[in-house]
Amino acid sequence: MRNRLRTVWELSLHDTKRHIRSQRMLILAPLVIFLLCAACWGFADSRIVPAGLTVNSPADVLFLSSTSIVFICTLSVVLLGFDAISRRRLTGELAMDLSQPMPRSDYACSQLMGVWMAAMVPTTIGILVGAFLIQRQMGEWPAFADLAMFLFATGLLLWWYTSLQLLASSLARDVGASVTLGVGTWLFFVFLWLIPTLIIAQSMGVDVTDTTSLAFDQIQEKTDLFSPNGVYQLLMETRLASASQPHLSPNYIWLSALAWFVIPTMLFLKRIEHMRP
Amino acid sequence: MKDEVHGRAKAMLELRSATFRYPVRRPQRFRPWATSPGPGIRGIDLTLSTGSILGLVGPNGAGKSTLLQVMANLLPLEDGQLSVDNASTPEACRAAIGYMPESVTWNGPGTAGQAIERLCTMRNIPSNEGHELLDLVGLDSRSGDDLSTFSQGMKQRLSLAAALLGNPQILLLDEPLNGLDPVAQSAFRTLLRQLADRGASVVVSSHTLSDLERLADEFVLMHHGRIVANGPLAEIERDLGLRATLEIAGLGKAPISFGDGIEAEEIPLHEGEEWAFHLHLEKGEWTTKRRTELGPEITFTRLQPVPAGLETVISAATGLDIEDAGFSILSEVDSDA
Repeated sequence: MRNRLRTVWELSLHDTKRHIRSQRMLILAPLVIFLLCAACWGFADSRIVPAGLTVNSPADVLFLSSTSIVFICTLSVVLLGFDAISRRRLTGELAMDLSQPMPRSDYACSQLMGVWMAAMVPTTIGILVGAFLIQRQMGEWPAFADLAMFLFATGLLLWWYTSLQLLASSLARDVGASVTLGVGTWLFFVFLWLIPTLIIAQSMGVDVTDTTSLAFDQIQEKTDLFSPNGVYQLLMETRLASASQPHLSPNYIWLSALAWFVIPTMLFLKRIEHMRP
Repeated sequence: MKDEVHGRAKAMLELRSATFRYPVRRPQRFRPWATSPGPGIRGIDLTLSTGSILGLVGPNGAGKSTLLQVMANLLPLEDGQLSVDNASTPEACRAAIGYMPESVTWNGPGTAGQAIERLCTMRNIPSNEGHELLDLVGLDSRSGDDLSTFSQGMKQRLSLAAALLGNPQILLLDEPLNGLDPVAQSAFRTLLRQLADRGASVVVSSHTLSDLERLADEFVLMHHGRIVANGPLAEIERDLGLRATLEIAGLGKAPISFGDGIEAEEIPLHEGEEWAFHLHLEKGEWTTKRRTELGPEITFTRLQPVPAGLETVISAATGLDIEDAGFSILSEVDSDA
């Protein structure tokens, strides 16, 4: 078992390095780091925070900065992982990989970890530099627990997107289909998720013209459990002051986080188990 | 049908009634995802023995790559059995096998050294073993170069090094000569012979018989996913009733006749030659005795057997016309539906 874990770890390190050396990473990494730093710097300055938003503590800044994670870091996972399986399948490298004496489930895990760790490198750098910028702006460091939660929730979000993207990449018959599946999933959860939320609220008799009402808020939290971005936001909200905390029990949020971790990962593992190169 | 390649040593890999067919999409009105079994391999019985080189030959779409992938444990058997010597798990089977897929287009990013080290990790072997194999295939000086700068021949050599990782007892090579220059092809043949002499069981696929005639000990001819003939090439040709042909050319006066049961056919001359023929035997083989009997006084510049072309052999084995033997593959899916 120990030997298997070591092999998975070493192979994922190989793949992480390969993704980090890729040309697209040269473009994505500066963008991710810059956007995270800019968000932390900007939201920490009370003079330039958009109207309607109140920032009282570094935890609030981290929460607001998480919007940039949802936009750019999840997209970076999609762009790093869209051809992780599909291109190797087309070039014959997947056949070479799958003919090695390594259990396919271990191979699948290493592929997931390879893309995930590559996406986490610029994200972690951005978050840590962002924490430093928050201290420069507010004269106060984010609490260790808040920062750890921010990193952990971000790590979970990127893992969910990694497993979804690699599943799409393994299902797609060509690289174009893989991009379409990945970007389509990203678009749906980032930009279109409000539509199903509104439809559900409307069908349950909630006034959808008042999105600040308690009833709409409660419906939105429940539907958010079915979206990775929604669960991420709910996880981040658990670190806010009590007035801004979600109405849902944290148990449901963590259960949903666990389900998002387990289900796409298992689907990808199963897919690789039965995949024809 | 039972087709066995009898080796001179113990069996390393055995296939019994192996069947695998690719699912082909056949959308129906209310079942757009419906599939039906398409081309693949059916009822294959095959035994690979230690120390032998087996040539797997057939036209495009005959099922050669599928058979290799089944043997490499990459495709699940729909029916039948696969057993590899002393291996009880799929991982143990794959540890005993080195597989080289057809034309891997190593894309990178990364170097040849990094690509081979990655595979060493997957095989749990030290990375210096990978570098030694890069040296063996003549890529040591290029191991630090980006894969995007590699020619097709270099990529083939890298694939061969990858297939040799872990000193596998069974080597499955899919069209390995594609893209190699003649010098590399010759070195490749020598290397494979050395590996077979050390006890490895080697399977090499090709769609041209001439690629393998100087390499393989025995041949398996595939058509429509089935083995249509197997054994040494001369035996196959004899069994199929193909006439043995000898190519001769020489200097001086051209022989007028070559004896009973021999049909002569004039062929184009090479530089410096004064006559050249193809001699077809109506029966039997061109033994050394028969060749000597052609005439001790004749000065030959060429005297070599001419193997039958793949299309001729396939045509003879299947009873189809040469054109039909090639293009009937396309109708395979329809006939299965």
